[in-house]
Amino acid sequence: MVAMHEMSLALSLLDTIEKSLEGKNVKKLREITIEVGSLAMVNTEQLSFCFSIIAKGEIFSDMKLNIQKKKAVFRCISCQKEVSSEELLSNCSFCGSSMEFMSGDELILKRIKAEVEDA
Amino acid sequence: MHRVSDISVEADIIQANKAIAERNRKILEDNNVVGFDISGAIGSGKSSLIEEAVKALDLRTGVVAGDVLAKFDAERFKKLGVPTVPLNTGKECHLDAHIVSHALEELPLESLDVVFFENVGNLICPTDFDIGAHRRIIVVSVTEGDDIVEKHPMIFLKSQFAVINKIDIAEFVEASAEKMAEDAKRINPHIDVLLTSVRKKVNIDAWVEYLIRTVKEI
Ligand SMILES: Nc1nc2c(ncn2[C@@H]2O[C@H](COP(=O)(O)OP(=O)(O)OP(=O)(O)O)[C@@H](O)[C@H]2O)c(=O)[nH]1
Ligand SMILES: [Mg+2]
Ligand SMILES: [Zn+2]
Repeated sequence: MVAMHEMSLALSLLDTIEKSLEGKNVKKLREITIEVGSLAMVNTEQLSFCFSIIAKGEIFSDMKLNIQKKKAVFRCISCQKEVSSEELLSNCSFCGSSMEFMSGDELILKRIKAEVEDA
Repeated sequence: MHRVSDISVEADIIQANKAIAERNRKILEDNNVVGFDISGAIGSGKSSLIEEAVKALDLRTGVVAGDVLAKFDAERFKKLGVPTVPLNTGKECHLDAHIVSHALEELPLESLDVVFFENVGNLICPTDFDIGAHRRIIVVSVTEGDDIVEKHPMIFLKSQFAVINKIDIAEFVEASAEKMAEDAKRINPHIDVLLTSVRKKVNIDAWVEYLIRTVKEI
């Protein structure tokens, strides 16, 4: 099966960018930075590819999509220690108890670098 | 003149889907309906488990059948005489909250107690998409091989209940259903796991009991 849910994520990304630019008089985008949790089910290459297909127009013509990976965070259910990891952790490295998944599946539009026309 | 400006955004890209999912949940709750997202591998027995539940539950049920081509599964549920909405996902590999919100419009929610949402058979794409159900149930079967759970940990992490189906043929495909259950528990200590055979009617009563218990909880 072709896993193309990256296309719907790319559309959401485009939507989020457009919303963030409302009323800002932006002429051209230079760089978009997004952060992807290491356990989000996102193929970042496919996401870039899908985004390049749908982001048409002058405003996107020189834009760079910068994708940063963020490690997931787990917390031990016994000793409460927090550990960050790129992969899923099942057991605490300190006491061996089970770990609870705290974060690491997010997809965040962090910032936009843009050429803004002064009014 | 233009200047280069750094705009800090910090916006959750999947937020739009989450917001619609919350709205779907609210619509279900306003109608006193409990929603179950039945996700899982292709051919693992999602439709069969829903059929068993529809037949056994002494509750008014409805089904949203999501599939690349939904009519085949939808016909099976319609035969049981329950309100059914086929949702063709086409090239999409998962249900999202938006497409589900339209299916909800087509169901007679005020005269239902439970809605089953059969998700597209896929262990990857649906993972990050909340559709607005109250519980996610993940269905796999021994025919996928007994390493299928550890290969797809995230969907087990994001489900509350796991069904390992087709245990009647475990020995023929040389798979250990017990190993699969242990893997699921290791990945997600909170998940409840049930080994079933729809074919040989093993643990179907326990499956139905889980649903009844959960409906009472919510
Ligand atoms: N041996 C065996 N076969 C089963 C069992 N449960 C379901 N099947 C068979 O497996 C096949 C697929 O079952 P479905 O219920 O259609 O599975 P599904 O997950 O809904 O499939 P898709 O919607 O196509 O992804 C059917 O031929 C079922 O009869 C079981 O417990 N044991
Ligand atoms: Mg089915
Ligand atoms: Zn610990």
